Formats: sequence, C-alpha cells, structure tokens
Amino acid sequence: MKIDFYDLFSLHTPNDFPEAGGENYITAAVNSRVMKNISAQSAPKKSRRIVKTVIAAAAVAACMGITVGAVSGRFGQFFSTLSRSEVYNSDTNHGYLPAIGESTVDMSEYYDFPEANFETDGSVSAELLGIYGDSSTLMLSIMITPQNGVDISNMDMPFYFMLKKPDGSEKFLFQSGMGDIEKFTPADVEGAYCLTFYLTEPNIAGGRLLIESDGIYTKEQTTATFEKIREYQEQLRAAGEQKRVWSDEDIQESYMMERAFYKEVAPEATGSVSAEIEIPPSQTEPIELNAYGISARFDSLSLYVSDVPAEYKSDRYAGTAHTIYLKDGSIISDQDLTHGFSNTEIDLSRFSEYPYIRGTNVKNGRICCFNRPISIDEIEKISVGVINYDDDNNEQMTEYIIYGE
Amino acid sequence: MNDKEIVRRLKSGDVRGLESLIDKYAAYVGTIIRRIVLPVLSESDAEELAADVFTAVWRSPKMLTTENLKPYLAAAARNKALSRLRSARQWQPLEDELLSVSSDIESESDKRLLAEALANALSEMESSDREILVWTYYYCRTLKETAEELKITEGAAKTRLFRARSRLKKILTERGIVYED
Repeated sequence: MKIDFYDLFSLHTPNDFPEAGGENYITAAVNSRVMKNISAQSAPKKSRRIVKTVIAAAAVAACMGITVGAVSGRFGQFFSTLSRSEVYNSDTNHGYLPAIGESTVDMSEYYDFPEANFETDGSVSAELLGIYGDSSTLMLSIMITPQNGVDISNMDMPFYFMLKKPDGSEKFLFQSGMGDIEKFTPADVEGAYCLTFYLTEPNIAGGRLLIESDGIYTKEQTTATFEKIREYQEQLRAAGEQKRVWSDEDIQESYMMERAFYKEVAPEATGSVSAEIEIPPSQTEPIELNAYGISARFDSLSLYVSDVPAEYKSDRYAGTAHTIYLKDGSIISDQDLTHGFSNTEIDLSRFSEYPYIRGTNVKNGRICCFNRPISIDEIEKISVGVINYDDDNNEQMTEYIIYGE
Repeated sequence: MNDKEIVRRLKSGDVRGLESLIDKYAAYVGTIIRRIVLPVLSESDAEELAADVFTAVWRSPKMLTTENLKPYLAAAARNKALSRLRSARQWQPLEDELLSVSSDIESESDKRLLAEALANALSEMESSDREILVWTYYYCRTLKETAEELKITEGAAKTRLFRARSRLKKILTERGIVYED
C-alpha cells in the first residue's frame, strides 16, 4: 500500500504540549459552544464561595401514591443486569445514593414486565428482561441469544427507539444507554447476552416504544461506519447544512442517516430484531413544583427541571445546580458541592452526585435520574442554584428552594 | 475524572462526561486546531472547530476507549481543521513522495502498529528533525510558515525537511514498516 507523509502523520498524536491549562479561555468558549450545539445546560464550574439566598418555599405538591407493579420470575436477573450496568469503578461515591437509615426499598414495586413479542430474522432470539421507570425516565434490558453460539461480547448491536406517546405524537429518542453487549451470567441462560438502555423523555410512561436493530457488527465495522458518517457530516457542514448533522430538536434524520450507513455493511453476526412494547403507566404520581419561575417535576426516579428565568442569569452566567436535600442529611446534586466551596454546611460524607443526568433531549431543561426510588416523604428540600461569575471571577450561587423550607 | 470514567459516562449519555472531557482536552484539541488553521482562519473559527470535535464525540461515543481517547481527539481535531482549510481552498499539500508500507492504513490494528512505529521513530530523531516533520506533515503548514515558526530561512527549512524525511524513512525501512519498491 502506498501512502504519503501526510497520511503517515495522520497517525501522529502530539504530546509536546499539555492537555489542559495555558489556554483556559478556549475551554470555556468550547464548552459554551458544545452545550449550545447539544442543547444541554452546562454544569456549573466549581465555585469559590456560595452566596446562599434562601427564599421561602412556594411549592404545590400533589399526593404521591405507589402501586405495586407486576413481578416476574425475571426480577432477580433484571436487576442484576441493571446493577451491573450502573456500578462502575470509581474512587468516589458516584453512582450510589446514600442509604437512608436502616430502610430498604422493595424494588419489585417499581419493576414491570410487559408483553414484548420480538420479531427476529431467526439468527437470534430476543427477550425483554424488564423495564423500570417513572414519568420521565425508562430503563430497559433486552436479552439476546445468537442461535449459532457465536460470541458477540465484543461486538455492537445498534438499537433505535421511537416513542409513540399517548397523545399520538411520535419521537425518536436519543439512546442514552450504553447499549454495550454484556455476557449474561446466570448459569440457566447459557450463551445469552444482554443490552441495557436508559431513555428519558417527559411523559414517557404510558406510551408505546418501537425497538429496532438491524444486526450485530464488529468493533472494526462500527468504527469504519462512524468514520464514513463523520466524513459525510463534514460534507454537510461544509455545504452549510450544519442542522442536518445534528439537531437535538429532530434527531430522526441523524438516526436515519446512521442507520442507512449501517445498512451498507453486512453484519458480522446477523440478528435483526424488532418489537413494540407498551410502557406501563408510571407507578407513582409525579409531583409538579412551581416556584420563582422555575418549574420542576419530581417523580420516584427522576427530577425534571426547566430552565431558570433569563433574569436570573447575568452576562457571566455559569450554570445551574439541582440539589435534593434528604431528611437524613444526605445531599444529591449535579453540582460537585464537595470541592471548591467554602461557607457551606454540607456534611461531605453524605454527598453524592446523581447517577445519571439526561438533559440532552429536553431543550432548556434537565432530567436528573436516581438509581433507586426516592419518596417525597424522604426529602427535606429541593433547590435550584443559579451560578454567575462575579467581577473577580468567583462563582456566586443563589439557591432557590422550590420544595420544602 | 479519569479517562476511564469519562469514557464510561460518555457512553452512558451522561453530559458530565462530556463536560469533563472538555475540561481536560479542550486546550489540547484547541492547540492542534489553532496550529493548523491560524492565521488563515480566525480564533472564532478555531473555537467552532474544537466545539465540533467534542459535539461529534458526544454524538458518537461508541468507538471510544480509554486507550484511544487522546489519539482519537487529536485525529478528529486535525481532520476537522484540514477539512475546513480544504473547503476554503486554503491548503494544498506539498507534492511529495509516496511510501510503500506493508500495513493497511484502513485497518484499525495496522493503524495502531503504524502509529506506534511512527511515535518510536520520531522519539529517536533529533528534535529539530522531529519539529520540521511535525509542523510540515502533521500541522500541514507551508514551507514558508514552518520556516517562520522554527525561525529559520525557507531555504534552510527545505534542506532540513528533506534530511529529516530521509532519516524517518530510513528508520521505518529498517524496522520493516516501509519497504523499497
């Protein structure tokens, strides 16, 4: 094969200058542009100090009722799968909500196992292990068993999701889940693999979810396909069609494009599957909160918060922090309150971050997800902090209490 | 947040992974892009290109691994910058000799081996040779621009480039990476 020196040096990775520092202005500028591109709110930077303006609560809370959902024999396997996906190595306490006293939560109350008849091409069998969610978030796990026993643990199986809402509208969902293929470990399901997905969308419960995949691809095929997609996107961008490259308001075209590129590749292992499943109604009644021009929806597994009013943002707006203070002293937030803050009264040992934040398919809002159900009765207060830089480049946070006191 | 955690979060669609990636690598990506596009394009263009790199990573995180994160970002930054220069018809490569390599540059595994061989070869070369090769072939500067960057005359740059290229080719040939036709 013949290459020129430019091709050869395309494989070079510069190491003669630091990864960070020195050009911090570009970090802030890039962060701002990227967040605008993906329509997500930027998480605030660490603050030097907090100016805490506690304002009296003005929340309207509906009563919450929990109903017991269907429990299946797959319960243990399903949560085993979910917990494997959620647990990751970290030297921090990310990913775990602090236990509340000695109480335990019966997860079976939140588990459901709807009917799902998968159609496949015969080369694989597919089964829905279960789904778990509330009004704004949904986690689901699919078990795949190749009929020829091929090892697919290092392959990719792209899935596409379309939500049909109860009001008749349809929306392609951003695949927030890792979707990595994991070997299924229970001994009674030999040769099986599972994929776990996390989806977020306001009012997702009660709708129908169309799930589709066209095949199983090797990592090399996936990489080559994404390279082709990247080149095509470059062409679109050069032609001034940036919106077709990625638009959060309409991701359908992006997914169709990705899917079309994949369809040009012969899957290493076939395995087209599709199913339409009914998403059960939320087993909890979401609580609508409205205060200070900020609206939020608290549910058992998520806190969906709207953007803050424009007048709260100075010219040097840095972001927002969404924080839940539990009655046992635990704090969960998307702002790392353990570093950079002074004059706080936070017991750092009781602090954790949300395991998942899915804000990207909700324009001007953010859905913060929990990894186990939280009842409103456990909560002391919920706040939305607005952070602006002051003249000395310190970050000042004003905290608006939207629930509790 | 370490790279492993960043990759895990990116793959799980967690926006904090993206924010950490930007915190850690925006200056790195920005430097590569600026070295390629300035002063032909503006600082604002450079920022936009850097943002495009991170947006693309967010959009397609599946191919990321902890091991390839930095090389992936570097390659994406270079590709985007050159693509923009080409679309503005602002960059033409030097007419250059072709190398015969035993690797298939389209293959991921071969690509890794070739990248490693290149890195090793460059590390063994004099810094002046390394600099002129990288500025010419990685950052794709013209001979005149490279000469200005290295504070030498254009004639000296031409001579140094020829010499450095020959040395690199010799090392890669001795290692069996490049072969003579």
